[in-house]
Amino acid sequence: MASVVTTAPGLSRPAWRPAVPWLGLATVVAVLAIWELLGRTGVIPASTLPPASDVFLRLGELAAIPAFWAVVWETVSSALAGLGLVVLLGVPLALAIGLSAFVRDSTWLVLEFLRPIPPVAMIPLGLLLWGPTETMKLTLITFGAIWPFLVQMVDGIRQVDQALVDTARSYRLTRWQTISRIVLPSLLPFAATGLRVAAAIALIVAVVTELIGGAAGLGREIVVAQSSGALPQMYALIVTAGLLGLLTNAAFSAAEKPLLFWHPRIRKDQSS
Amino acid sequence: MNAGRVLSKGLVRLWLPVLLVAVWWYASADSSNIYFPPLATILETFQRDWLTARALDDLVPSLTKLVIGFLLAAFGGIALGTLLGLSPRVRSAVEPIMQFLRSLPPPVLLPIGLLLFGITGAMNIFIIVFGAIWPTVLNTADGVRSLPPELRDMARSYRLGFRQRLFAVVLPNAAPQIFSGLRVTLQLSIILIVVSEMVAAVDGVGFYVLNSQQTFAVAETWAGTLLLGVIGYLTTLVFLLAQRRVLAWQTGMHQTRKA
Repeated sequence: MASVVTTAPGLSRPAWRPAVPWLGLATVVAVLAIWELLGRTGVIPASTLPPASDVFLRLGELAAIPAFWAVVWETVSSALAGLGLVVLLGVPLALAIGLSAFVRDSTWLVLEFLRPIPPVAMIPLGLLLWGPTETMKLTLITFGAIWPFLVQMVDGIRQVDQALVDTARSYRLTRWQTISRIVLPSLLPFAATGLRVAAAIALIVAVVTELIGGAAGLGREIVVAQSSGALPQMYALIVTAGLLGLLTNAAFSAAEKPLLFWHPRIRKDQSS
Repeated sequence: MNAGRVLSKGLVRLWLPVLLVAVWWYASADSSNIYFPPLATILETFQRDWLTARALDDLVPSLTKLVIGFLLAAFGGIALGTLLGLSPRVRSAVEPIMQFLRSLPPPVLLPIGLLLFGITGAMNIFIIVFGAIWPTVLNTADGVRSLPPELRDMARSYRLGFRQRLFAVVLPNAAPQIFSGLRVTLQLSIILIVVSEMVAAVDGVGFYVLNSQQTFAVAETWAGTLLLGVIGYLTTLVFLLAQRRVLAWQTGMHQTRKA
């Protein structure tokens, strides 16, 4: 079931530069001001949405508490560990699928069936088998996040320039030289894209397992804050989750540039 | 491809799934482990709960909410994305806020949805629209922005009106990118309907599965998970078929270019 449109080898979207840089900042300020006003004037009751200042004050207070950072780390560390597992499992699997037609055909049906299963569907099963533990979290994160990585890698392996491989053969490069000098470098951009998408999914799944499954971390704290009616706390934690997501995206885009400076897409972005 | 090769390719594709199911079937056949009931039991439960008329009580609400939420997110996303793609000024204004909302892991919207709507179908739909719209918005904006200059000039020299330019030039040009955004939106929609039903619903497939787990109904939990897998698979299949139909002209164009 190949998709009709072959997407160009990923990398983050070409850098978009704001036409009027200060406009974005102005909107952020305006939205916060409206939020504050709606809360202060009581148009939206504080039991639904407390004023912005309360939320951000609470966030400031939280940032001074070590326990808060411990909670954030619970979430981040499991997402990172899950990503590690994704790479450990994904690379050999992708190599096997990409290089051998037999493996590709044999695993096709299994993978096409497993891939669209929403990772959250496995939460009840995970809870049943492992309870609200780190094992459950890691298993679900890995299961949910491995697909974009695997798909990108297999795609990448199949798009390795055959002329380069033939050249390598006529120069009698060893198998290892071919892999390390030709296959891996042309795979890197695909790996970067796959990993970036996988990281976003890993974060989502981590938060959901905490939210529903009650594993320790940001998600559970959000539920606790909500059920005890501590709304500024709840919104502060939600903002934290958003900032984590932003940070993840930023970290991956920042890592792409020095790692892939030689890649035509990146070079073009910079020269333009 | 001749019949022999089709057959052998089919065999190669089938042996592993068949083997896996067979191993599962026999390994679990007289399993007394309460967590791993025999596959036969799971399938019986599946048939009893999901292949009879009673399934409609849970399946229909879930699928209705999923479809409504996805369609709202899809059309809303295309509209918003087109606006952002056409006007760099608007995009500069909303970019930081949009980036934040896009990076927010969507399930954390659940408590907010609960506060705003309570446990209602509107809440499930709100979560889908708000959480799943962003990939379509961003992809549409990029697709609209990437109109090749020669097409833009052509549209201008033919003096196409705004509507014609939009529907005959800009959007078709952006269609492949819009579709890859829509596919992510669809995947997120499925995730979000399941999650939001687990947390806040009194019916639906997500409710059934989590409820089974909490009441320790092991076979039902397995059957529900199986059903969610089937739903995920079938929705993706339908989406890909629709995409192939809508983008048929585009595939044709690429083949002509290659030839």
